[in-house]
Order: sequence, then C-alpha cells, then structure tokens
Amino acid sequence: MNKYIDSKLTIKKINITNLLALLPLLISGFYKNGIKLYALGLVNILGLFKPLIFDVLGLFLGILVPFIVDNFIKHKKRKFLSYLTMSHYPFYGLILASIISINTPIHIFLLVLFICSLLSLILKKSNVNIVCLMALLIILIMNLKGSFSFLNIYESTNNFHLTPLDYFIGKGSGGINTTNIILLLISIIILFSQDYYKKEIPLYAFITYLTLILGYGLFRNDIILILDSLFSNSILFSYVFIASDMQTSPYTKLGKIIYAILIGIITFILYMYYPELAGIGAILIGSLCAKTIDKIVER
Amino acid sequence: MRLIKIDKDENIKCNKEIKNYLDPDYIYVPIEDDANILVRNHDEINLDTILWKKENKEILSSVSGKIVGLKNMYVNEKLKKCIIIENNYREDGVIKKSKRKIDSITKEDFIHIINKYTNISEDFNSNNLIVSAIDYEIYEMVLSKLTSNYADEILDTIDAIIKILDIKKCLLVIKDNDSDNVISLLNLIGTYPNINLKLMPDLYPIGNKSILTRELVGKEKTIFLDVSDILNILNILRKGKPLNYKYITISGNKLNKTVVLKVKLGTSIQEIIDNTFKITDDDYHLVVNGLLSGYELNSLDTIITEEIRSIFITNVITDKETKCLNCGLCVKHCPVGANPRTGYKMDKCIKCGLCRYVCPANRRWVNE
Repeated sequence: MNKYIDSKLTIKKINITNLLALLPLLISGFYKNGIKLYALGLVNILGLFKPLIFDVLGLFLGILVPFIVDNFIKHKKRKFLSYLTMSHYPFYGLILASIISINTPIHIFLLVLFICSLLSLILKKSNVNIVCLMALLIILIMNLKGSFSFLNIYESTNNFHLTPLDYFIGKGSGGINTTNIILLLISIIILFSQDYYKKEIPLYAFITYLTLILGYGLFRNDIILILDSLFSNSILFSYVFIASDMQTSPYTKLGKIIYAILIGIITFILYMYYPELAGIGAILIGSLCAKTIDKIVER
Repeated sequence: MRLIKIDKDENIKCNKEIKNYLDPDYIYVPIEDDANILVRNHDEINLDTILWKKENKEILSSVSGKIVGLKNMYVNEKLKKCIIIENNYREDGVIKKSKRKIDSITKEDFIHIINKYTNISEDFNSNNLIVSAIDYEIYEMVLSKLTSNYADEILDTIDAIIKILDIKKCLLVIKDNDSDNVISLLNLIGTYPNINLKLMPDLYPIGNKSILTRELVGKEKTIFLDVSDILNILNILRKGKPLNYKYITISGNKLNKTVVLKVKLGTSIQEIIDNTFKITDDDYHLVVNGLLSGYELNSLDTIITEEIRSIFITNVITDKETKCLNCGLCVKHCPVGANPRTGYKMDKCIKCGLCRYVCPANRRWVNE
C-alpha cells in the first residue's frame, strides 16, 4: 500500500535527538572523570581522555557492529556512516560508555560491547534490554576481578560529606556520564518534549522508587541515605535513557505505567542488596516482562 | 484527545479558487441491482428525467441528451454497470418551480423525501443535531468554502430542520483557525438562537463523524450532517429534487494550484483530468478522498459520486518500510484506541490513516 503524506518524525530524527539529549552529560562526564583528575595530577594524558575514549569507542562499535552484520552476514550494502543515524546501536554504545565505571578496563568494555551487540543483532532478541545486559556483565566481570567501584581516583582517595547541591552538580558516585542531575534535567526536558519518547516510564518509575526510598529513609531517619539512593549509582540516568528504550519497553499507556512501577519496586529491592546493580538490574528484569505486560493490558 | 496536527506539504498551494465543470461530454449513472430502468438505448432525455427507480428511490438525469449505452465504470472502488448519457449541453426540460417554504413541511414528509433523494442514513428521531463545516482531510476545503459562500442559506436551512424535527440541541461546528467563517458566522448566528456555534481545533481526524460526535456529545444519539448535506436538503425542500452536482477539492503536489471544482455527479474522472487542470509531472498518482485515508484509483474510468470529496494528484513517498521500532505512536495516536500491530480493537478502526502517518518506520499499517 502506498503512502502519500508523512510526518516529519523519522528514525534518523529520533536517533539524533537521543544523541543530542545525551551530549551535555558526555561533556560533564569528560570534565568530572578526565579534565578534573588531570588538573589535580591524578591521571596521565590517557586518563584525561579516558571518558572520551569510552564515548568514541561506544559510538564507533555501535556503527561497526550493525555494519558488519548487514554487509557480511545479511549481504545488505549500506554506507558505514549511515548507521550513525539509522541504527540504535551507536546510541546504545554511548549509553553503555556513560553508565560504566571510569575504572573499567577499555578492553573489557570493547569485548562486551562487541560480542553482545553482535549476538543481539544476529539473534534478534528484542525483548532483552541489551544495554542493561552489557552493563551487568561488565560489573560482574569487574566484581570477579575484585576491582569494581563507581568512584574515580579522586573520590576514592578522599572522604566527602555531600550536600544536596553536590548531587545536583555531579559530585555523587555513578557511571562516567551519569552523575550530574542538573544536566540530566536538561536531557529530560529535551526528551519529554518529543512525541516518540515514552515519558510515562521514567516518570512513574522515579515516583515509585522515590516513594519507597522516602518511606524507608524516613523510617530509618536518614536523609543522606535518601539522597544517596536517589542520585547515585546512575539510577535516574537509567530510568531516563535505558528504561524508556523503545524496543524493550511496553507501548500501551497502561503497560508503560505498570512496567515503570515494576521497575521502581525492583530497583528498591535490589538497592537494598546490590546498590550498583539496582537500576540496570531492575530494567533488565522489567524488559523481559514488557511484551507480556502489553499483551495482558490489551486482553 | 489523541488527535494530532498534520504537517503540511509546502509544495501544495491552497488558493481556494472555485471552478465549474458542469458541461461534461458524458454522464455515467450507476444502476443498482434490481432497479427498474425507465429509459432505453437511443432515448432522448431531458434534465431530471427519471432514469431508474427502486422501492422509494428515484435517480434523475443531471443533463439532457441521449442514452448511448451501458458501460462498466468504477463507482466508489467497485465496478458497476452505468447508463451512459451523451450531453447535448441544452439542459432541456428545465422547469422553474416556485420555491416552497421550507419549514412548512412535516417531519414524516421530510424523512420520506430525504430517503427518496439522498444517501443520508441518519436516525431523524434524535433530539441532537450536529452540522459540520469541518473538512475531513488536510487540504480538503469544500465544506469551509461552502460555508463561506452560502452561510445565510445554511443557517436558514438548519433553523428549518430544527423546527421540522423538533431538535433540542444543535451545534454548527467549524475549525477555530477557519478565520473567515468564524467571523462571518459570529456575525450571523445572533439571529438564530437555536443554533450554537462550536469551534474545534484543527486536528486530524476531527472531521470524522464518529470522532466529532464523540468529542461533542459523547454517546448521545445525534443526527450528523455536513454543510453540503444541508445545501442538498435545501434544494430538495425547495425544488423537490436533489442537487445534481457536487463540489470536490482537486489538489496535490503535482498540480500548480488547489481548486474547488463544481462538477456534475456521474462525470468521469478521466474527463475532468483531461479538461480542467494542468499536471506538472507525468509521474503521478491519483488519490481519492484524502492523502491519509483515501484510496488510489485503479482506473480513470471512475465517476464522481456523492461519496467523493477530493482528488489528489500526488507523488508517492518512496521511503522503505523498516522493522517496527515498538515506539507505540500508532497506538498512542489512534483515535479509537486500536492497535494495528496486534489487531486489538481493529473492528473499531475508522481507516483514518493516522497510524501510517505517524510511523517513523514507515509501516503501512491499515488495509494491508
């Protein structure tokens, strides 16, 4: 059937908007985990550019893997750079580069990103949130090596008493590009203004998680616990950029709300035991239920 | 409301010109099954000669001329046998009847006469009346144009219908950005206390009968007419016969302008294209009744019927369909809450084409 009129929304526009929404956070991550550490003399020139190296490699592999799959496995000829805007994988690569710890060895990042993206494209498992799976694998590998921490070299060698404002300007712990809450709010404004963005998901997930954490924190009479639970470990970032992933989240309105509440509850439970896995773990579990949620809602 | 604003194509110019094409060479009159045909081949006929009858229904000739045979023509996408009338351009047999007072008719007579001469299938026992001056699709402008040209007649007729059918609540609905009509109707409406003017946002598909009714009166039983129906009813009440012409929008990005064409019912689209406008490109597609919800013509041997609102001469979007992104925009914007991916509530689909329009993956959801 032919189409004679089209909206201005295209896959290219969606991918570019997502990348632009992420840009302020990439800059802030580069400052916090690169420039600042270099200025303090804590890292060498490689350390200065390490956040950017993750970003560039994430983006590059996000283009390379679908290019390889299309050109060498599916035999579809497309230009290499067209994947920058036509595929979601460059964005996934950047998200993974943002959410991992600065202490992650580059080769582990590359290996996990390459293998998981390749398998995801070949197996076409669209109900598993691939970014969460990759981040989880990296954290597990790092844990097995006994070296996992979200703190950079400056944070791990100093003791801090963070004020609420500190969390907003990125002094909390978390992934490379995920800690600056003010810049995350800018990303939220950009994304929430987009018709395609599933805004119910971060909104309801955050409200659910906030309610549970507030209840728990007030019960324990611990305000720092509340702030730390909300603004560290990349939980908010995960809600905004990963939980709302189109492929692995529900599309019905009620389904999105149920999924978000489920994620909020699982995040809270996981946070009690494995705080660094809380956000991504919850989204991974949620993504496995997304299609079922939609089916139940439509029934 | 899940309705949306449609992005306009800047290549389509809207200059609202009205053109007449009332002297076609041939008129094709579709014959219904089991109809009693009252004319024969080579008969010379006058204007308004009864061509066939079926139960209460009568079909009149819209031109004077000669019966020259039968031909299969496309009538609303279906191939139907049609009587061919060769026009002699003389309009023989025009009888100037004195105009009747339109509000002196009884409800029973009104319903009888409407069923006899029109395809309007409303339940006239309802207490609510909605009259729409909102064109269904983007670039269509017939209803808006008719409202601006015949505002007095339309309001008079609505007022008469209110009295005849004992209507309790009547809404005349126009788009809030149809500024010419908003101003003129606001000036006129004061003398018609039974008619309420209602402005609606320019969103798609607000012109759809079920959507507009839902937005205005919910599930209440309502008579729904548009302003072209009102003008047709006026003609029937005054002159005892329906209009034998129709206004249609001719538009598209392969035309150098958009026009509203006044054309005789039964004219072939082939003849209209050959004689009325210039197409700027040979590679074009003919789409009837809108770029979003319309259908492409299989053949130019298609005739103008009551159901045709517009003809678009346009190109096709060649972007390839890609894998569904699961963005859910089709579900989010569906005005009836259906899901074209899973078939959920598709029995309620109004075929507005919004799911196809909003899809960033270029999926062709409806009518696949």
